Amino acid sequence: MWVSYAGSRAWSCEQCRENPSLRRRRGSCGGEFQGGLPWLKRDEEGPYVMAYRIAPDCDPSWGEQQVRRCPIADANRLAPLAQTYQAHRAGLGSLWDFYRSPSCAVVEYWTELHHQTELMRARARERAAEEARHG
Amino acid sequence: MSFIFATSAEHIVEVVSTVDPAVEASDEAKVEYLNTRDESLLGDTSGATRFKLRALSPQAREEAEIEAGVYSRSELGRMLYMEQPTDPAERARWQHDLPVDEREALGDYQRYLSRCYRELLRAGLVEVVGHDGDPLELLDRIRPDHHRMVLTSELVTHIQALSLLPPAGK
Repeated sequence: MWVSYAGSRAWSCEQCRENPSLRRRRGSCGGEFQGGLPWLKRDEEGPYVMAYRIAPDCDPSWGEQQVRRCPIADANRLAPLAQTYQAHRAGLGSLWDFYRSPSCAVVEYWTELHHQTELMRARARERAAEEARHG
Repeated sequence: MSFIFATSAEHIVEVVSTVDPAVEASDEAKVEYLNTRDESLLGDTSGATRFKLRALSPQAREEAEIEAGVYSRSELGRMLYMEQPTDPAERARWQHDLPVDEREALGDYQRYLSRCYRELLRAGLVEVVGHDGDPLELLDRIRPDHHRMVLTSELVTHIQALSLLPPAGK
């Protein structure tokens, strides 16, 4: 969600498609990050990139996390759940219409997604108000 | 990070236990299996007993917790349980030094956790493959007792991983 919020400044699959060596350095869709990746840091658990480098201008609660696998690969795996939430927000149906028997994990995921979406909207409103104040 | 949770409460997976004598793997591989459910880490598991587990819906999870006594458990015991040291020797001394009422509260909370494990198993353990009968009763017959306890703990770990969003996923 924060990746899409950051727009073209964020990591995306297109960047890896255009540059196969970048794909390898980013762990080839889910593997460990490899040397030569910009902004790569290391600690005792291995290589990581700060989340705000992956999605600039994200919420600080996400931006301060140490990301050790490409979050786009994980997001792609969860895309059907996110699309269901977006369809629900667009008024196309209730979540129940899409998932008749959701696990606790799915309900948790939607709750978290909703919370973060509201945070994102609040940030956008705050920014718009700030810009209006300063012309 | 890879996601191993199920999206549907009707989703069923098969697992094996790392204490099963038919499973021969390194300790690291066994720990990794509990985190990933990737059976290839354990090598040949063809002779191992298999357990069918399902993910819990929010209702099933709540019912299991209520049945275990979530509304009457000791909150003091819960607080002490969260505060206890991780090192076993240090924890033993810490527990020994607790006043009697706090020790009882801690014991009460640990009994609640045991009941909770049992209710989660009742809700999430579908079948012991190849064995007829109530799966919980079959588990109770497993000896030595240490194996039964580790197996119970492993099955609950799998049910929770199947049912809940991992902290890193948030």
